[in-house]
Amino acid sequence: MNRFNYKTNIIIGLISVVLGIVFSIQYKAVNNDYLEGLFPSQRAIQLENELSSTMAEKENLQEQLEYYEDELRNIKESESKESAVIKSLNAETLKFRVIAGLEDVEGEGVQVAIEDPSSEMDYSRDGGSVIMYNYDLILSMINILNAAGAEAISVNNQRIIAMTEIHLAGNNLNINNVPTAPPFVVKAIGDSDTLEAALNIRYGIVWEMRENYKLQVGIKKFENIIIEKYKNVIQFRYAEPVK
Amino acid sequence: MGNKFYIFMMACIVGLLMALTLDNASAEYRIVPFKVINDFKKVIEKEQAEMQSIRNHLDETTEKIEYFKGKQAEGDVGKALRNEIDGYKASAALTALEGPGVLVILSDGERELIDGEDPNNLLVHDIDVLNIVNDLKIAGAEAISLNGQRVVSKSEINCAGPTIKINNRVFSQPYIIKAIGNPDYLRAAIKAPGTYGNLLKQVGLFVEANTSVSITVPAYEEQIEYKYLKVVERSENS
Repeated sequence: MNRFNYKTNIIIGLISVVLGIVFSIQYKAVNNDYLEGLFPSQRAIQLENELSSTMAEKENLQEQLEYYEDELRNIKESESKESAVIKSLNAETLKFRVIAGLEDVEGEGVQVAIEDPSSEMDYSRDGGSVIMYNYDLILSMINILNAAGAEAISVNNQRIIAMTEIHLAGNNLNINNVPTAPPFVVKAIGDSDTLEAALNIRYGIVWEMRENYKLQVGIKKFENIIIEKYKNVIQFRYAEPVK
Repeated sequence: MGNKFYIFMMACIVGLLMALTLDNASAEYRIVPFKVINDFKKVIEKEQAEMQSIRNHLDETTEKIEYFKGKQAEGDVGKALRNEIDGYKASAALTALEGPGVLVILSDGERELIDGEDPNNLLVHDIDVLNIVNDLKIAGAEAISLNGQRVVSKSEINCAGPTIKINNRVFSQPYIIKAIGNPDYLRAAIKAPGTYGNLLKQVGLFVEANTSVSITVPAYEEQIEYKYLKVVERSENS
């Protein structure tokens, strides 16, 4: 044992410490809790480029769409100047578009923001999102708003229409097939006092969210709130009108 | 001799590992948390989904322009508009629809309660119906009715004890849900292991789903009146 003198021991000790640290860094990079590992920034830069090109393409398509929509509108308007029948048909078109949720609408209403529990409260499931996992709370909230007479509802700017689904798909909560993430902002147009009261009743939905799930919920009343239209095209593949 | 060799070997390993780590830390190869990557991916997915819906709109609009121009040449824009209105009426759930789909029957459980068990476990609640309807929509249901009432965006489903209230009308058990769409997907959305419907069945409720080649879903019949809602003017919008 005397073959290792004092100095050598210290050197070996130091090297072991360094080795341990280096190992732990390497280990941490690959094997860590969900969403907390490390990645080379190269990948992030790639994704950033992909995102900006996707956004540019989307903008471009949006402009094209607006151009064509204007053209279609011009055709209809030029015809409605000539004929009263066409004019009333155009008005009818708008009426049904509003009912179907295909127009931006505004009016008195409430806005509810739902956020996951603050990090001190250890309620999260494996680092996942509480509200996303318990998305039926959102279904329930929409149902209650409807019962309180809401005329239009959106969640994270996704308009709730007859076919709207809320779907937990992996890491995302898909609404109208568009991935969304917390915080969830639910907007509803209707009598703001009634809507607020319906949400806020004792042992109601907001109470349940706060007490049982420790979610952070805030309700605000607005004199005017804008709810965006449903942005996809409604298509029927299986259903046909009854003859 | 021996321990000098060990130190040399260790120094080699440490050197190698340090070099690897430092390499990672060079300017264009820095390390970012996985969360950043994940967030990027989410945003990209969202943008792509939105882009797809814009594309669908674009296709629809250009098609309509062609159609309207054709009708304009024929001098029959009125017919084109009426067709368009029919389309929007169907989208607004104001048209009765038929097609293949499923018929789901949901009812309170009939088994005996286990000692001290809450009877609520065996009753159908609003949230159960909401979840089933949502599952059907996820599986691509195009039109859904509950006890003969069309489920629309503003339908409220309210199960109060022995009755269920939807679209302001009251019904009693059992709850009959009809949905039009791909029958196999829809049935799977209710019956597959791990689905909400399957869970209810395991708890002891009565859940049954049968496919059918022809399901008829009625139109929404209530009067629609807006007291608070206005359409956003286009000039403001753009």
